[in-house]
Amino acid sequence: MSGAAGFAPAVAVAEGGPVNLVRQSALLAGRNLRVSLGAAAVAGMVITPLLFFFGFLAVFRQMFAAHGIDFAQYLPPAIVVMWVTFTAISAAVLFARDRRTGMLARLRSMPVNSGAVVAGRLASDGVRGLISICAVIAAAHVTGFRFATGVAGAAAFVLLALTVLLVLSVGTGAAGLASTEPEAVGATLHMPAMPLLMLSTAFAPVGGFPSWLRPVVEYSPVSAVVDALRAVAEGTDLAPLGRAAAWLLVLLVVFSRAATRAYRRAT
Amino acid sequence: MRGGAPAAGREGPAATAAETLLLAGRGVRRYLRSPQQLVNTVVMPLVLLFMMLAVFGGIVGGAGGGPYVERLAPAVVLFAAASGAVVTGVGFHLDLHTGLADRLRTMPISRASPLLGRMAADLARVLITAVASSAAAHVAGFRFTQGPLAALGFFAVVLAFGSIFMWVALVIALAARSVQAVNTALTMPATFLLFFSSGFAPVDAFPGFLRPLVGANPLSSATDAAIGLSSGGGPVAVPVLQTLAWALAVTAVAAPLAVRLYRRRDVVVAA
Repeated sequence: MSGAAGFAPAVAVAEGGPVNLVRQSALLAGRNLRVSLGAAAVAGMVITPLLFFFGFLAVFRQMFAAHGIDFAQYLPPAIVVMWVTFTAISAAVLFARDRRTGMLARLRSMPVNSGAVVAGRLASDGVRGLISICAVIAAAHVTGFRFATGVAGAAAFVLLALTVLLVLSVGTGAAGLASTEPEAVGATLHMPAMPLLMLSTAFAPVGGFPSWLRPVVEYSPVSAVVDALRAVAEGTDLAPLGRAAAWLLVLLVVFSRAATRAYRRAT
Repeated sequence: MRGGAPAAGREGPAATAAETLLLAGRGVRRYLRSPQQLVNTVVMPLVLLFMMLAVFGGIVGGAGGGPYVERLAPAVVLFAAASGAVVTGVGFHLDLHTGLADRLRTMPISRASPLLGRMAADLARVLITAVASSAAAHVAGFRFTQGPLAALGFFAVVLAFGSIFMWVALVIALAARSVQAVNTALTMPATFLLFFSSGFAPVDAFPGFLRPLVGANPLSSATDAAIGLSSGGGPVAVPVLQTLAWALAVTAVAAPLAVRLYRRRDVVVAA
């Protein structure tokens, strides 16, 4: 930083530096939240996941009980991962909209730290995701969902869910930056999301699937993440955590490369 | 329907019918030429069907011990009709706010034609998605075993159920301020009805306090009727009558409301 200030004085001082990064990130995160937190959006973040949670629970609780599974304990991680995914997809739409409306170009022309644009985006996604995650956990608690691991387990659960959200957001952010059609990018990302979510252990254990699908379910990254969330909540077998960490690391590397490229190219 | 305002051109029911058909044809062509709308109304319900079968097929059985697809396929066909109403709502909202409605008003056509054309196009869309998705469900083992008359009855039930959401879509399109609002106002209730219906599981599988709600849900009546008319897994007469009662009740409330909102728009624009 100090070296950079030597050859490009005014501008470099204005946009570089960790203090600027933090302050500008916070500023942009606040702006992103104000833009995206309309009444309809909040309904989408809180009411819709609860509708899915109570809906799935009402329909399948009794049938899962007949198979010896407590669905109230089984389901919440699935809804959390589902909503984390949908939040990440909406981040792509918001990013694409910023590019389409010229907001990104405007920020680029200003002495704004380019890392702050990305960090601000991720921070606001994190806040939006956190609202959904907490809403689902609260509703699940009412219906009998418990953390056998106590407060520490609950905190780890939320932290893991947020990590998943941020890794996904890097990937969807790349897609959003590469697209100038906000509506199209949302629809395109939703398409693979549903099969990925459903062909996993999110909603039913591997044994319930037709045998030819079981390998797909077992090796699904969604299964890895959902199993890890369940492991954190139950505290019995922590082995799935390693698999989830490996997946998240690989995805983070791939997504960051794509996002960096897309960000450089986006105008 | 009589022609509304005294227009300079031809009048009478025959002219209105011709105009309605023309405008309905436009609506259907726009729908068939939009890949995204086709994906949303045909492909997504089928993805839902095959996913639900894969995930829950091993845990939930069909009606009367049959395979799950006998319950799920009719439910998904009906849900496609309901959630597809977004296409109508958004399309009509755009017509009203991008100048097409105003343009049509300056032409010598009946004032009722744009509304009737939209309705006809919507019912055509319901029928197209229903035929396409039942054909695709055939792959998963869904069959019409009750004869051709029952199969026709199946599609009649889908149309009757679809008309409920058609009216809701028209009223919302006339009242809403934005496309986004139209979208949310139609998608949320459709999703709610799907979960709390006999579409995924029979009414007995729900907790006791929810059973009255699930039983009263029009999607439950329509699903039960459609199951009876396709695979024969249950009674037909009562659910068919319930579905018709729902369709008539919604029409009785929504039709005057839609016409009133539509007329009021005229007055506002004319003044």
